Amino acid sequence: MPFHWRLLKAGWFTTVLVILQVGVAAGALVVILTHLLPHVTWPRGATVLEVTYQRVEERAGMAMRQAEPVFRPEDALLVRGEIPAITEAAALVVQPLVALMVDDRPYLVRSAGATDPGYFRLWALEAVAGTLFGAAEMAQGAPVAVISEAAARQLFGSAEDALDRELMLLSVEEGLLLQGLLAGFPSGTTPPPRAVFRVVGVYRFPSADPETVDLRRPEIIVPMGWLTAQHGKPAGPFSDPFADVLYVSAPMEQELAVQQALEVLLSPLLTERRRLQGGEEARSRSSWQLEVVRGGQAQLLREQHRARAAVVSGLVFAAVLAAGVALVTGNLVRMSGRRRAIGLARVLGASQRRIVQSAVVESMAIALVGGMVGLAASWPLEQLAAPLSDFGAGGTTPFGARLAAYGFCLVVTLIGGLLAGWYPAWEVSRGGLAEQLREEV
Amino acid sequence: MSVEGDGRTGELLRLVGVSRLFHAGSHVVTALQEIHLSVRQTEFVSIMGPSGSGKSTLLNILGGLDAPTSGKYWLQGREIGGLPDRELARVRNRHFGYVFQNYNLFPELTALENVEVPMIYAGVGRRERRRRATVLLEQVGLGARLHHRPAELSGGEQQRVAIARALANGPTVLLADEPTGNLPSNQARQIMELLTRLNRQGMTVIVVTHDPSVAACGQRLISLRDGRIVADEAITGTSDVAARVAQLEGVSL
Ligand SMILES: Nc1ncnc2c1ncn2[C@@H]1O[C@H](COP(=O)(O)OP(=O)(O)OP(=O)(O)O)[C@@H](O)[C@H]1O
Ligand SMILES: [Mg+2]
Repeated sequence: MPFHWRLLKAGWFTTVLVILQVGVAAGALVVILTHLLPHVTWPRGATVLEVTYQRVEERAGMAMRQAEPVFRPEDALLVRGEIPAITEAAALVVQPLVALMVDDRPYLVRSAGATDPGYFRLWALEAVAGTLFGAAEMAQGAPVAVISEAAARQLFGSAEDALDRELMLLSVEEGLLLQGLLAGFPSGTTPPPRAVFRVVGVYRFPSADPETVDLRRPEIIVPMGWLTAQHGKPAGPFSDPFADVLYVSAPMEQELAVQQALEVLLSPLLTERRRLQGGEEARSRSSWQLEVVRGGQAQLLREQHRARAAVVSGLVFAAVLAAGVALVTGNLVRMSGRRRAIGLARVLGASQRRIVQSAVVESMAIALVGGMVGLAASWPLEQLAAPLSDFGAGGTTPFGARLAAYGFCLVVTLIGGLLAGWYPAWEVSRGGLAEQLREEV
Repeated sequence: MSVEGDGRTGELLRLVGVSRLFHAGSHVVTALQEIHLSVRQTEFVSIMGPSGSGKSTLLNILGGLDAPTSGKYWLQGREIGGLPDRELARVRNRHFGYVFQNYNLFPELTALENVEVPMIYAGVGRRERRRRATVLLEQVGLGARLHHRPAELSGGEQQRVAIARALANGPTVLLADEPTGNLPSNQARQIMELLTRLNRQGMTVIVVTHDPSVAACGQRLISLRDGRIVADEAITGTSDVAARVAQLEGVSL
């Protein structure tokens, strides 16, 4: 239609409303894409497998399963060396429910673990304060500990305050005493002695979910060698530790192959190790089983990933839908307001195609302006959405991702403008001209 | 009038057996019934008839704004029915100039811009458009009103803008549906003088009207009743028309 600008000016209020609506939706889209999407993609590349060696015992017709501490720190090196698909491996010694002494006050924490630096890499743990212990501390058997952010808050008030403080890991016996469960303490076991650790770092799991109690997600982590004093050796850089879990990470598409390779590699090794450990086999009718699961946290992470992906795609869909609905309604309002003008244009020689074309161009222009308003609006919206960054690991979005989000947003608004412009114009510009002209202004 | 006229006699339009039905809910309204009509170049045709007799419907079909339910329509020997939208748009743009009772100007545009619109669709360049629009508005006596919006013009002036716009692409036929219907008599007279002048310069004009004095400007009077042509005669004076009107109205009662 000719003199489009005049017609647009005549209906400026609707146009501004549409631009604002598209702007808000597009801004939301950018925020979602830049802030949430990067966190959704994180676990996509690798999967974490949890390997345990389970003793299965028939008791009163029921199969009782118990993961036994049979892994050696070298096993992590072994599987990494033998199975090329494995990118990271770590053995973890777990002790659920551990008693601590900090400033002469006893605490009970959910779980402590002893492991090596591979564990931090495996879970992509980052220090939120201080550092995580590395190979050097491992080699020296230094009495250092890293603790979770939650534990740091509980024990010391804040992550920063926890650094360089000391905490004493109490014996199992003292832990049970603290819980009033000492009576259940199995006789004949040597309780591990106390040990004092210096806190060097505070970490956070990439997907920390305070609601989920996962005993295998330790709140206190010390170098491998500590914690496992049940073999009569003194606590300290322990020369002969046994771990309960072996974690490996591998590309997701190799998961099955790795699982099988682990069976082949570890089953004979562990059978042999068990035989060397002692002759108790004779009295108990138990069987042993190597279990490799995408278990525990890996499963949890995957589920969280799926949930987040669903939430994010839902939000993206909602934002795109909102923008699209705004465009379609805006175009319907503007086009039906111009029904008579369109009829007149056709009388004067405009083809339906020409009218639809110019309406589509107009709609795309409006959508594009809305999209750019959205890009501008994404900055303040990001501030508003700051609490949402807990959704992922926080941190800043890489520039490339931001640029991609902007591009995506503009492309989506342009396509939306095209589709939303086409139908209303086509609808209004078809049918009897005589009727269209008769329409009152 | 014979329906077998040919191009050599200067025949411009020809309708053969044209009917137009409207479906209003469950019942069917026959707006036009078996119309046979031929219009030659440079004719000035007046169409009269009681309200609802199908005058506007006939004019809309002649101008390509409406399509007959049945029957055929030739414009300069070319059949119009069944043309695709793009071709039809071109025909409307090049061959017809439309003048309506309610002027139908774009209220957002100035007089000059209104006259330019059909030229835009014809692909006329910006400066040529402006030049021609200015000349046309001067011809209809609105040289001093080029940049006025319709709301700033009198009814007669608006109708003259509409006539200038109708002439923009040098049409073959000027079609006017009650062009003076909304105007006081002095302004109506100006409009009719304008149409008469254009016709004398060679423009074919077809006017639908209720007003015998308007119809009397033409050379030929077509009378419609209940969607049929009941009379098609040459006009010799105003009294002819008045008599015909009295007859038509009387019969319709
Ligand atoms: N779009 C339509 N739908 C249904 N019926 C219609 C439509 N357009 C016209 N008609 C009917 O067709 C008949 C002829 O209408 P038309 O407008 O041609 O009459 P007219 O002679 O121009 O009348 P008037 O002098 O009042 O303008 C009328 O009965 C009218 O009700
Ligand atoms: Mg009418």
